[in-house]
Amino acid sequence: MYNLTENNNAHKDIDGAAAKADLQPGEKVFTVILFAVTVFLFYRSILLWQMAPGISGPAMLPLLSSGLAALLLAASIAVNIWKTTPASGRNLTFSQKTYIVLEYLFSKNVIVTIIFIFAYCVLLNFSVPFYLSSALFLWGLMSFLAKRGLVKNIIWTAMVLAFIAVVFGMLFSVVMP
Amino acid sequence: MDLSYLMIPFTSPIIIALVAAGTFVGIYIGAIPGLSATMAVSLLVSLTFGWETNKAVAMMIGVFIGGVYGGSRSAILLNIPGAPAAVATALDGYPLAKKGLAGKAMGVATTQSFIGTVFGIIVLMFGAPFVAAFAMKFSSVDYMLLAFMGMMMVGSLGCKSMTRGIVAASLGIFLGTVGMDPLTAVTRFTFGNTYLNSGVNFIVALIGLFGAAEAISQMTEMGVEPIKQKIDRIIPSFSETKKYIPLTIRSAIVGVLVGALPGAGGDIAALLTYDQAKRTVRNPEVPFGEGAVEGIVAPETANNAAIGGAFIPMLTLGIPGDAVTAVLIGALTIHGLRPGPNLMTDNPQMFNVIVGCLWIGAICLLIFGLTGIKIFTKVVEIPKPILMPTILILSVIGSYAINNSLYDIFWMLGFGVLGYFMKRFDYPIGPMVLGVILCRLMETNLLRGLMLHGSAFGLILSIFKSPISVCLFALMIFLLATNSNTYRNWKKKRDEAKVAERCKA
Repeated sequence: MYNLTENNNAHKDIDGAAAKADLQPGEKVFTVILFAVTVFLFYRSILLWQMAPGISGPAMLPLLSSGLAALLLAASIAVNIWKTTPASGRNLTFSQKTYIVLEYLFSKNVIVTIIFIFAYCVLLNFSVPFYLSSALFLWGLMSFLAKRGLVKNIIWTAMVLAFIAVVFGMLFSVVMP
Repeated sequence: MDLSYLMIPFTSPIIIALVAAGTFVGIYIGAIPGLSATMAVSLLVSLTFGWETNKAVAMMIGVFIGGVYGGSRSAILLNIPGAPAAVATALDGYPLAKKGLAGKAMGVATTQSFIGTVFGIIVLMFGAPFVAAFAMKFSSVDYMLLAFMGMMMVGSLGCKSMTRGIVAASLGIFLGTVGMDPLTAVTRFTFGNTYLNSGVNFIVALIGLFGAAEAISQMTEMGVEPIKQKIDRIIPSFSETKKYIPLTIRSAIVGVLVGALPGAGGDIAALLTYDQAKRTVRNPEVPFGEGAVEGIVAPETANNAAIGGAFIPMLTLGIPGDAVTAVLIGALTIHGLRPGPNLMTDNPQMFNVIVGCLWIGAICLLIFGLTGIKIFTKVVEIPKPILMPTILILSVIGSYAINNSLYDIFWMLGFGVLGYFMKRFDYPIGPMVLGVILCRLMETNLLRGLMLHGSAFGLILSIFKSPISVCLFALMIFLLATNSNTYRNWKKKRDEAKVAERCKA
């Protein structure tokens, strides 16, 4: 585990550097991840090509698109080597760099939102009634983000659900999840 | 054209009321991501089954016109296009809303949508047979070239780096290929999941990449106060509208022609004209992507002009110009009519009733569009802690409503998270959506062309055998050339030289 205070100080030092840097924190890693994904997709396209070869076959466009993306991302990775990030030229440990990237990507609100989305999906997947799971999601997230107005948020939640019930449920006869 | 038939809708208060109600409802349906004009018109088919034909058609036309226009509302206010045809509108509409000028943006969108609709109706009234004949000459190669031309606008979709734009577009195309191959029915990249056989729905991608991603991104700016919108001057002045007439006419022509092509609709027309505007408009007051009014004028004119265009092959040949007209053909068939070459001779009143309803719809669009702006702008002023969870839940239900499938929700949320990362790392989202939208059109026609002509060489040769293909190919080369750095540098030097000459004079 890394020292949080130490990392916070490191982050303060980085603030000035961030404005001058060519890339955002974590951008190099993101490019590498995208490259790995496109290489995998290219590999799957080759397998498809072997199954159904031919220029007018089903593998042609996937092969072209994934190949082009992989090629360009490989070039981007090469170019990124010479580009600076907010951590460039500073003596930071791996954990400090990781902290900066995570803080840039996942603020507290974003993390909580993603957790709420994940929990909502789990509830829907386990056949918890739509209106109940949606009410929990809406009220919970609104209350967390607003930090107050717990009762007012119940009214907002009811209004949104009523809108969904009328427009989607009654008008468009959408069968709720 | 018998004008007495054309006047039927204008003399019937019920038809006027139905078109008006349809347009009003359509605007709100279009503004909600996941609810589309196609869905609403499909529902109306069963609802209006027992109605008189004219009344049923009147309501559907109203919803169609309102639905196409309504997509711009959420695109401008929330950066979430309500429909694919509003993707291009979001590029400059949302930056205007961020400056507190959402009222102005929606005013321009409304007037341009009205002008576009009227242009489409006029072409439908007087040039339908000619446009239909022209549209029918489009071969698979021409459609393929059209799709490639669409892909060339990657650079126009808010890309700071062309490389990143192409990467995003390539990934979009790849995602568009997931599922059954359109010609051989071979399943691709489904990993044994039967849900994926039907492919990735581009509306789901649109809702996730724009809606959910925007909502998650806004979580990082939760403390920022909502921008107070200026709504004192909504209706654009005549001089302002006059200023954009050349662009409006160009966009309307492209809109009608693309709308008349079966399989290509307002979404492609809007994207093509946005790119065209970016290339042809010299010195816009604000750069494109940062709130240029021209960036709203072009796509909004084109996507509504495409409505009239879509009716042309439907009424003259019985071929739907887009998804909504396909449903309308079904509705007319239920009512005992057969749209096609004989419709105009056997049932001339029907053609004129449709045209009349389109006119009423256009007028209603202008009225409801301009009067509802003040209420709509209030949406942006809702506190973010309330608005963002609401957007997320509407995105969830909107994506579920398409196929009643939980997988669509998971895909949408997956796209949302991917879109969030892309935004944080300056990868443009627009080209990815463009790739997903254009993939089917491109792939089907490319493979069909290859099969027809035997080889890639045969396909290339075939381009030079048809005048339409030659024109499209020349246009493509022109677009490619004008997008190059060499051309830009040359143009910059030429403009500088002109300025220097003027100074000397």
